[in-house]
Amino acid sequence: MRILFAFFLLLSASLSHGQSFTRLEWTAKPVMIPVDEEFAGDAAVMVAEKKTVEFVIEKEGFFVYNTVHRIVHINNDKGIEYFNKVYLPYTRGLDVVDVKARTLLPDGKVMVFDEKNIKEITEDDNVYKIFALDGLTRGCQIEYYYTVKKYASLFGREVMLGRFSVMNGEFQLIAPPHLRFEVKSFNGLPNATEKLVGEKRVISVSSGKMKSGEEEKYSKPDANSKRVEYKLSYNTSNNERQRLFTWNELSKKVFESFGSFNDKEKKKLKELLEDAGVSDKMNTEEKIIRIESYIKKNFMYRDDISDDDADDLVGVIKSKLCSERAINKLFSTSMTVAGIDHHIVLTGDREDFSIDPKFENWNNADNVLLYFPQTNKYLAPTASIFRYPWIPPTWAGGNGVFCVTTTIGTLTTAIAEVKPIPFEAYEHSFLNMNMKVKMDEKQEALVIDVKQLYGGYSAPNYKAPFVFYPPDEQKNFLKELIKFGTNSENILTSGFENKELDQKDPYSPFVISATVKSTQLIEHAGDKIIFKVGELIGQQVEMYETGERVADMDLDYPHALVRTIEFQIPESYEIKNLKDLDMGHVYKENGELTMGFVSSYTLSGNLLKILIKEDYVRVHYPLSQYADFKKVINAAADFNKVALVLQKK
Amino acid sequence: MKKLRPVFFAALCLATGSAAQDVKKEFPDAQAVYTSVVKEVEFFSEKGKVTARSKYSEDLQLLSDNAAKMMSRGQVYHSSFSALNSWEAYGLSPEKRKLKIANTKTNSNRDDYIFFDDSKETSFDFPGISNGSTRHIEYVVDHPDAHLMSPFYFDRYFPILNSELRITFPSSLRLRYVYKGTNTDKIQFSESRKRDKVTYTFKAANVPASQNYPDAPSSSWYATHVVFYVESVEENGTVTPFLSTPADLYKYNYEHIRHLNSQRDPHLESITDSLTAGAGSDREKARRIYKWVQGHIKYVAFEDGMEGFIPREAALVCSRRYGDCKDMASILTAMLKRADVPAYFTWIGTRSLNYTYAETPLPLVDNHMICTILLDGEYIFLDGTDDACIFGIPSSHIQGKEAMVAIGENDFKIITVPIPPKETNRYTDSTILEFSENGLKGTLRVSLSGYFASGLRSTLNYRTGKEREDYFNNRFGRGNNKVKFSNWKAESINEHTMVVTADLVLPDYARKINEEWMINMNLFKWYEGEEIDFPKRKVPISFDYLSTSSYTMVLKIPEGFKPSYVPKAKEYKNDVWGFSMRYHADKQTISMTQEFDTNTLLLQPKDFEDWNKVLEQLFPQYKQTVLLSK
Repeated sequence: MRILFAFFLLLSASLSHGQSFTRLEWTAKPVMIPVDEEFAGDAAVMVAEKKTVEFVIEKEGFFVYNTVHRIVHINNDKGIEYFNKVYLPYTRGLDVVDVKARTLLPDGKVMVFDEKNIKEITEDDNVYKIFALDGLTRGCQIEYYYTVKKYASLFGREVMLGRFSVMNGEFQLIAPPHLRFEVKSFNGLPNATEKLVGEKRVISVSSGKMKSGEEEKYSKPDANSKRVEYKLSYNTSNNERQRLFTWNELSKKVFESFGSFNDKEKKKLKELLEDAGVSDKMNTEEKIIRIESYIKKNFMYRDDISDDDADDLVGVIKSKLCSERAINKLFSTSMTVAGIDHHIVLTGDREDFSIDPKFENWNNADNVLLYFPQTNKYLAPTASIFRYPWIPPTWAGGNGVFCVTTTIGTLTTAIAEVKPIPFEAYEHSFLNMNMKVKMDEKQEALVIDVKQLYGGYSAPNYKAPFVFYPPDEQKNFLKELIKFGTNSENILTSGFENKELDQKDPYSPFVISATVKSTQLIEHAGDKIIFKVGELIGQQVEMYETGERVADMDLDYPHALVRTIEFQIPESYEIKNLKDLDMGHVYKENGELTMGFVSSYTLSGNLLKILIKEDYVRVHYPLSQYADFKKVINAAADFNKVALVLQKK
Repeated sequence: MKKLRPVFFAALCLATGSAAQDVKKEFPDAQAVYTSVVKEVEFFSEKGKVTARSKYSEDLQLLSDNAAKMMSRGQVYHSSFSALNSWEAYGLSPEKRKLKIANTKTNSNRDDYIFFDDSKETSFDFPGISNGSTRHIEYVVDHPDAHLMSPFYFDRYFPILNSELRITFPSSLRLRYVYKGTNTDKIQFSESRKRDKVTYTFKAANVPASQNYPDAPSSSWYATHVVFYVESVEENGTVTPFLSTPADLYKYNYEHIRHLNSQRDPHLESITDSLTAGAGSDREKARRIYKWVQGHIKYVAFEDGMEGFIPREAALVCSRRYGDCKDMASILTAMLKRADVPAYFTWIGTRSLNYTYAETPLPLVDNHMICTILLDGEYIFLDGTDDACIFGIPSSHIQGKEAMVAIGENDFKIITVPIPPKETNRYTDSTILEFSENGLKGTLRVSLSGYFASGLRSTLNYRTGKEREDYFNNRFGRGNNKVKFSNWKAESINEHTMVVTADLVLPDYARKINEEWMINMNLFKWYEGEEIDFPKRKVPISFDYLSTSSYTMVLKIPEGFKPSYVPKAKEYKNDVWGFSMRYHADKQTISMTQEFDTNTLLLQPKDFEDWNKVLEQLFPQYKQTVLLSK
């Protein structure tokens, strides 16, 4: 979280300065390191990779030197393309201390990179040094290292395995001995070891060999990445026992940063509430919904705006353009002025990094929610398309740091409670379809009345295009949605219900209904008609692969899918393969459903009714359930291929 | 002068008053409308040097909450060839209150494919703007070299009420202009003179928003724009050509290569000599050198100032093993010359540009550099940036384009690069299947020639192992998503042709109901959903190359079965394109072949209706299913 930057400087100012940073020296002459057979087919391999983070207190302040040293063996053209261009991000005003690069060609010749060829670019506010490496050929070994000086941040993470396999990886954190950092390894990396080397404390993690993997369906590769995270936990020159940067401390800082406002700001906030139409007659939930709707409609938040604007809410309310911190503060203070009890909650993201109760990496507390104890629900200020109680689903399902306010005497502050952020009940999140299908008289086309219903966590992403796109693109998006299943762009009529992001009842589904003429779902074989009924549920994700799986299965949110199909069989026809519609794989634990796919049918007279239910009650399924999970996913993909054959009676 | 003022003011008021109504009336669906876009260019001539200054201003009125949010950040683009002199921007609330901008930043503005260049983007926020607000941006840029002027486009992402280009120049200059694009009839031209200054004014009103389609060619092919340039300069009674003919442009271009590769480089010479040793002909030498450059010099582009125009020394390119198009042209030319093959630096505009040297003899016409060689009286175009291009066939993005070939200091040729006929680019796909316990199983064979082959080769250069297999599975998938392939092989039969083969199993495709098999022989339905949005779409469609494709499925009839229903053959062709579908059945097998041709590189809106007519005939064929009964 960027808001915390100022506190780091405070800490550094209180420290006396000491040692200087240790420059990396590489060997005078590079030696070709043989590549393990198993990596011979990869585009390139990190023969060795070392990432060093060194904290140094200098006269000018407290800094960190990040050094990355890589020796890479290039196997093929793709490897060349990937490594012949280098980007080094660094902080404006600070420096890239060292950049050195050389190429060892297969014939033993060494080409040394000339620093004069470095260029500088600025993109999205980041400054980069960029350069190209000379002489790369298949089979060469490149070696480069760079050291970038930054203002010290007392939290961090290094991902140790990316897209290229690593034969020998190492992480090292170096700090003055009175600053005790903790380093935690994730996802199978060995634990850290610590020792004193001269006047420096050195913490190391050696990864050994790591093979880069394929991205798997229903997995969260960033969350599963082999990585280390670190944080400063003690400053022994002050107090050996006092743990630093706890969740409690964060909670307090956040409350101070978001919770407070002056009289002028209060006046403007009152005006804002008036403009929004918040009145005392409303109940708490109505007020929350009204405030959220007003701010999200009228204010724009962008993450490239400096957080300093949050110190002046009056200015923010005028400009309607704000930083991440300012929008969070605007929400929290508006709620306070409106008399709505709430806690600020900090959360990670199941996509990548989550809150660990015992290892307080403040960097992982990236996202801000408001929690309302009275209704037991949440609101996400920065999520422009989500509305109370729906928040970006990957922000839920893990731990949150709840900043619970307490008042002691005249002083109000907040203490941390780390606990899970639950999802809304799973049956509220759905992607349902109801279809009524008739064949036209010539038996060449189907007329389909289709209703698509999107509920809960599913709805915002489907609604947003109808709110934000220009009219033409909205039409195209609607076409695409209706085409899913009906296989037709021939839309006769269409309509919406609950299209707006703001809804009185946030549980009411977004409904798209249409009447469609579709010719592609039927085929002719002589006088027989083939009705590709399975395609009505749309193309489904498949897991037909046979290889071994590495990761657990992770979904974005628990959800259900219910599809109903009613088909009027033409008078003179009958269907002999109706039993193809019966399919099912259902899994339960302790008698409760965890996941399943079931399709069934009833026939009364000429009316065929098909019911297809698919449920994912959880978001996480362990690898041991892979076979079952695959069966459920593939049942849907198999149903998609079912066709009914109509033949003359 | 004083008297005029109130009149002028009143006129202005009237204009803005009606403009506000016009916006809604003219463009009811628009999210935002440019009420005014004005560019004033002034040329200066001093001691034979021509420079220019442009003043640009735009007013964008926002007509929805979304547009106000989406357009809350403004940008000004500039580089060393159009240096930012001054700029100003502000918002105007619906009540016409002035709103200051904030958060100004200047960043690099890079194209993805250029590793480094010096173009910049200055951007800023418009705080407080809302539905009904207007954002105003104006800036002045200096053009130190009047050879490098950009055209003026009348089309934008949002519609424009009034668009105007004003060019002022001393009467000692001769200025030429050319209209390009589909709506040039909207442009109104007028000319005025004041003392020794001439002003050309180009106006267009109520210009609709540009249409954006991913398969369209670049906007210079259809967007309405004016290209303008200085033809000649008169000084002391003498008229000197500036950019009046391609020869003037050649003279300008030639300066960029004049001193190049004058030093010998032993390393480059020894590589060349070892490559060409034993080659029996110039053609063979050239072939080997081209292949070496394709395989060893990687594309990395640095375009800092004049670096964007001047190729680097061949020796440097050789030791670095990378370069941009000009650098590759440099090393190719140097190596070929060393091998005594006549080789020439060549400027060319890729297919993303729609200009010719005769009509607009400007640097604008080309954006690319290649090497041209002369073999047995035939010019061959070697593009070093295409790593899989077949020797003798031009790279696909220069087909049909004019090449400016540097023969000598005062000698050049403009040659049109040939467009390889469709027969050169053949795609022949066959699948042979039979029934098995797990569904259909069999083999596939795809033969690819010409651009199909080079495209595949280039892709495979960057894929090995699992990645290559995934690519094959996707590119050559068929039937349904349960299909499983094994034993993928890709082989070059010769330089022009590649063959891909694999075994496959295709479950749940053939359906058996009551002792009858039903099989749809259309394993591919490429054109499903490919109807053109006619008549709404006004923008052409670009194809990579001319081609002819066929897809055949052969099915072995299982023991005891015979075909009881075989769909009829169908062929439909009109002036634009067409297809043919043929079935054939005998006792052992039943087969079907689909055939399609691409006959044009650019499909124009006038042909869209005919294109769709073919699809109307094609789609019912996709639904035909073969029946096998006992």
